[in-house]
Amino acid sequence: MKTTPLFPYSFRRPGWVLVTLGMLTAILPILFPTLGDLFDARIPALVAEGFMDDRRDWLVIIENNLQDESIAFLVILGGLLVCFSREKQEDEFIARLRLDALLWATYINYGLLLVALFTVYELSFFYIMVANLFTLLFMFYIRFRYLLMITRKQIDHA
Amino acid sequence: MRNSVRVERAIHQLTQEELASKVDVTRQTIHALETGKYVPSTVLALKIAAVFGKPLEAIFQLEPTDWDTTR
Repeated sequence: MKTTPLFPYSFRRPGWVLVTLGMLTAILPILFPTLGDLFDARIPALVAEGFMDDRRDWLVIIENNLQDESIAFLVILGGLLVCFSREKQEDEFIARLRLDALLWATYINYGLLLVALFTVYELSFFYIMVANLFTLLFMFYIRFRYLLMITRKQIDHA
Repeated sequence: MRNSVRVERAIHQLTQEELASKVDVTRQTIHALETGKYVPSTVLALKIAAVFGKPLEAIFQLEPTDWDTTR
């Protein structure tokens, strides 16, 4: 029988650790600005293009502050581990709830994005795209936990 | 799909938890089955029928609405 490609249950806690580290990486440099300088680095880039440049460079070494990239990496990787780790007790009904939650989250996430395409512009839309890095995982997690909670409540009241 | 899982469970004096344990699913799954909120896979349906010692059709029956795939 085909098994769903989920992470083991034990991966959930490390996932939360990574998400927390990502949040701290975002918040601490605001409180202590010099911490942001720790992320300055010379790194290889497949492609690099400035916001105000016409030039696009391929396969170059650039100087960049990797704070934003670090935040995104930690939160996305942690979010994947949290969202797609097995439940302690995993079965076909839980898998069905997970699929329903993922479908719901995808519809809502892209529905909101479609609305934003024609209502939000310029730099504000850039912030929407940044948020969109995380919103699918976030909405899926909330919906999945909600579905699990109401099924457990239904049993308690049965 | 209609099922008589709750009736069979009562006949065999099994709790939802006990039946869930026998067929290797969660109690939520048995509850969802009994309340008609979830249609089990073929394997799970066969396991449940095997636990009750009855043929599959004695536990699970198709309803006319199951033939309407446009719903």
